[in-house]
Amino acid sequence: MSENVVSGESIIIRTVVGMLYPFMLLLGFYVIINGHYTPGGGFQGGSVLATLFVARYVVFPVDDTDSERLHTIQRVFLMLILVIPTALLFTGVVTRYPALRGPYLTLMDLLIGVQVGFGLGVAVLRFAFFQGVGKTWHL
Amino acid sequence: MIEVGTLILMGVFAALAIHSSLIRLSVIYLAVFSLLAAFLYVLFAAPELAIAEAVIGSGLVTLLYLAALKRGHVYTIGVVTQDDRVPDSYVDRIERSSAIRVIRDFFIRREFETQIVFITVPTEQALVDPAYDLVLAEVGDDLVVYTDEESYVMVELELVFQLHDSMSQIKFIRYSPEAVL
Amino acid sequence: MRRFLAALLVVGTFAIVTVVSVRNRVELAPFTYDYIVQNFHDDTDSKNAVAAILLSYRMYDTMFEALILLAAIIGMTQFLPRPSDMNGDARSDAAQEPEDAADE
Repeated sequence: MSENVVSGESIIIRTVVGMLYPFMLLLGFYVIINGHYTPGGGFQGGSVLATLFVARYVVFPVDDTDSERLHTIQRVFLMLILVIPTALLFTGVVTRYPALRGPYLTLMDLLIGVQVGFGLGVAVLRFAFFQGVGKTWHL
Repeated sequence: MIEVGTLILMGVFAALAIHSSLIRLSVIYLAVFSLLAAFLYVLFAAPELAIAEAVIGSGLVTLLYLAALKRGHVYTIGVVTQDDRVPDSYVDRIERSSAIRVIRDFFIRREFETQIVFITVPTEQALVDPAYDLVLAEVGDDLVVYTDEESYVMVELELVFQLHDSMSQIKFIRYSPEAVL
Repeated sequence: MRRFLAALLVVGTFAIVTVVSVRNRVELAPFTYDYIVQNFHDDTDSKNAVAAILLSYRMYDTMFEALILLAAIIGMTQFLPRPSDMNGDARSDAAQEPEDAADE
């Protein structure tokens, strides 16, 4: 019944969210990449990226996101988050070569941002599309 | 000064979120509370926390609560029509009838949102369809509500109708789900 | 009366904690703060002290925070029933029952 209805939201919400979508993407990556210049950083930017999934759910509530793949990407990024500081920061490479410091911060911000964004996005989508055990209410 | 004002407002919204009668309103009050907290973080020179609080507190968490509410508390009423198609005047008449209003108020007080679906299948088929939680049909001049014979809430609904003195428009027919199957 | 006592308990605890924490204010040793504020730009080439702390001075915190997030997501994806499974079950049930009714 509700499966046939592609979007239950009003046309105003659909249009406005559709227009804001690229700007939200831009804001997310701006917050992530400028993490070491302005307030923000990986976690905050990642949360903004996660709201993209939410916006998509509000406009187009169809469960066609491959959350398994997002989860795999998240795991790969977590491995990079664990490996890169171990290789660069704890061995003292970054401290020895000052030219590496800026790229290192940007890279770490990007990795954390994507990891947090995909993680929170998967979490929200899984809860939003969670069907429950039974729909009928025997009152 | 403005910090104190924001803190007091936060307290007010927290109290409203706890004491409001509808869960839906509580969620909105909680979102406003989060927004005020983000504003307070900005005032205390912690913009990073402000961004995180604004995005997570009033964005993601509010949506999660609303999705959970939407998932749980929609009570679908199927109205069975005998004809093949459903004219607009018929939909209008049913949706504006006082009996439907009483039923809707009854479920709103129990935090259920009602949605009314007009279906053209036979009544027996509608009764076994799990998509409809309550089945209504118009027989002759009055509405007939098919209710589970073991349900106490439906007895309560009947009592509400008796209190409103509008039993003349509506009839309750009890059935047992096993017998229909 | 019970609600009044509960409210009294909450307000009293709040007041006691506030008074005690104001009376015995713990002054942190200032070296870490001073060191970070003076040296974070030279050490990490960052213009934002919070980013410097998160990504350089306290990198372990950040790493394990990411790990905790992953653990939470793994738990969720493993223990929540999959939406596709639930849909399939509901649909097959709904498809079967009307047919049975029609047969009878």
